[in-house]
Amino acid sequence: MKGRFQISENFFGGTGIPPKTMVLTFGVSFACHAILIGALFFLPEYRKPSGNPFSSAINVSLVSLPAAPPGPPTGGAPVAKEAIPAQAEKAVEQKVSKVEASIPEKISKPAVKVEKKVSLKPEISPKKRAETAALIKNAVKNIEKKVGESRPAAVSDAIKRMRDQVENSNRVKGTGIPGSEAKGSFPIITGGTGSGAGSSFGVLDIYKAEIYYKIQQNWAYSEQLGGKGADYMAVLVIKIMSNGEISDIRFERESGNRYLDDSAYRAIQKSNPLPPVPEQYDRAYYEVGLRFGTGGLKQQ
Amino acid sequence: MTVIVSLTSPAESLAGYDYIDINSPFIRKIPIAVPLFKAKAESINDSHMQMSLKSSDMLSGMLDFTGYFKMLDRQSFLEDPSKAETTAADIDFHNWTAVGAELLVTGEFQIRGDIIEIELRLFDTIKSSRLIGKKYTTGLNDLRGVMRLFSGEIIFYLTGNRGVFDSGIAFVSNGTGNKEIYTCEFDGVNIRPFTRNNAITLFPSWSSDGQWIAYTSYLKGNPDLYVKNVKDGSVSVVANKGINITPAWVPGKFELAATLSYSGDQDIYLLTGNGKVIKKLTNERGSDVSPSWSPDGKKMAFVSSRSGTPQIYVLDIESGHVERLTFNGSYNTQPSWSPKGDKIAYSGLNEGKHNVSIIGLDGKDPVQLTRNGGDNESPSWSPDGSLIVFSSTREGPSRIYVMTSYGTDQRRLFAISGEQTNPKWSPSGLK
Repeated sequence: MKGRFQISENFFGGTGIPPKTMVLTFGVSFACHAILIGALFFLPEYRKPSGNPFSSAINVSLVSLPAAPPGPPTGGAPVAKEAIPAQAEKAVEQKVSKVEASIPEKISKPAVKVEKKVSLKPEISPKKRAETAALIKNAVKNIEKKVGESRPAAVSDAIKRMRDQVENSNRVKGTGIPGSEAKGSFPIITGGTGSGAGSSFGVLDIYKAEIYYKIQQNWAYSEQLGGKGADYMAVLVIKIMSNGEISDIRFERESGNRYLDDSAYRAIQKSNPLPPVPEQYDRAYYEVGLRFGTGGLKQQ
Repeated sequence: MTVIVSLTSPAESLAGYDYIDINSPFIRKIPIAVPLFKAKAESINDSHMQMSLKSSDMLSGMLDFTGYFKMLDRQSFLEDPSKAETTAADIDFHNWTAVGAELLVTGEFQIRGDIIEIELRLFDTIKSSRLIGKKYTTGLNDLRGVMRLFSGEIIFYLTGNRGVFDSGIAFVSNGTGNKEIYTCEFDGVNIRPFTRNNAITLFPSWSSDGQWIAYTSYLKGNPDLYVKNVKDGSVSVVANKGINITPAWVPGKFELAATLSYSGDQDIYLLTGNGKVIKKLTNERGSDVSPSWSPDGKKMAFVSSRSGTPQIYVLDIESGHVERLTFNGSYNTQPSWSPKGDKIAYSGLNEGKHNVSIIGLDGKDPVQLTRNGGDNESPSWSPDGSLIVFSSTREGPSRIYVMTSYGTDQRRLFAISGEQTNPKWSPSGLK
């Protein structure tokens, strides 16, 4: 009887099995258990019924916040009626945390400053709501300005890549534009002079990337409405003043699809003003063509 | 999703400017704002507030149903609801473009007893202009009718056709213990029994004027074909020996195609709306079932097992020529011809599951629209060809679902007792 209780004294040695094997056995056993438990955690996800966008032929990407975020909700805005405020406040509190959470995703650096400056807590006193609404409206305007001036992470990366490319290509080819042969692989500004132009090339390309980013983010086009099938393309030309304001929009080529043409025009209008034109570009305005096409939709 | 910035300008313009290529939109639906509608009254009380919410939600729901729009969250709106302006002169459109809206709907109503007078306007926030303005007067209990009309106006402005708001859906449900036919409005509202046969009743089919529904019922112990008037409920019966199933009305005519087996083989016949046989349409050995007409009535898709397994074929009525349409998979059934005439939706069995696919008339490139969600079958197009209703067992019991014709926005319409199957979308212009 007593013998049984003596096992604890000499756990590894007592059984007569070499310690190495014991460790190995335990290790393998632990690993198997870990795998099993891990699988149990993940399996339920796969079994979840999903009538979700993944089962569709075309992925419709979620609409993210526009480049200028809607800012804090004005659930705190004056609503003199009784019934709605309680609901609105609850929803505002939820929305507040949602907005706070999502803004950092979109804007890396300015977000920190923005959150500190703007108070997102809704006021409870009805009388203060009017003032709060005005305050919030101002704050939103500030945010919009800041966002317009800042560069989101994706563009910063693109800029860095292009800077590197410009440096490399200049080292290899020497100064100046090699001529038409370079056009295919690397964007070149027309009308640009070759004189030590390495950096001014990069700057306009960076600017074009910024234009692309802002306008594409604002381009809303429903393929369902526009009609599938043909690849439509609308070409619009815009003139950008040095402060970024778009002074002229015209069609170089209509797509034949009125809805697409409208949506392209709208995207440009919504993106006004663009970021200021780089100082190195010393003309009165910067003119650039924009080709809006639906071809990319097929790839999604 | 990575954004590919294409900055190459292979075709330099003579005018000397570069090009930037923008190959896909960032936003795939039109962002539209529908703020709470305003009550025109000296003092706003609870019932005004409720009507505010109810009416704007009702319109919002209908627009959302189409799949064209991204309904913006009211909580993000910048304007003060109590000072909401409804006319172009007074609206500050920057409030709306700031939250991303490209379209804006405003409403203003007045209640007088049980009558409601409501003004609805649609604005383009970028151009700061009014696109549509309508004023409706109706009984309080027919607010839905007004919202359907205005939704139709909006869709008409955007697409040139009035959309689905005046259409309905017929379907089969066995909640009573027997399969019976029910009807509902386009968005699943207002479900009503259409048959009360206390016997298996299936295969509803709407005539192209929306006045009749043909169906099969075992009311007399045999699968007979019935034709029932939607308004007055009068019924006539086509009772031949053997089976009489899968009726499909010919567009624009009081005629229908159906599978009858009285001659021994299951073939598709053309009948008058009263059940008189006009002619035999298919003649091969093997079952021919589930006809579906092209919108011009000149061709008919159907399922045949003549090549061994159920596949979809297309018959040219005038020449009698039959061509096979589906070659992928060994079990393709339930064809539904799009009202736009260019595609056919059908149910295909693959790896043990049924899924809805669409195929062009040339038979090339079938596209599977549903996956990973039980059995998805029995597709039927909306009258404007923008949506497809189908049945799905993805939740377990079979339910009626709707999706866009691209397969996006798949959602359940409703759930009632029993299982729902076999949906058929009516033509537009109902009621």
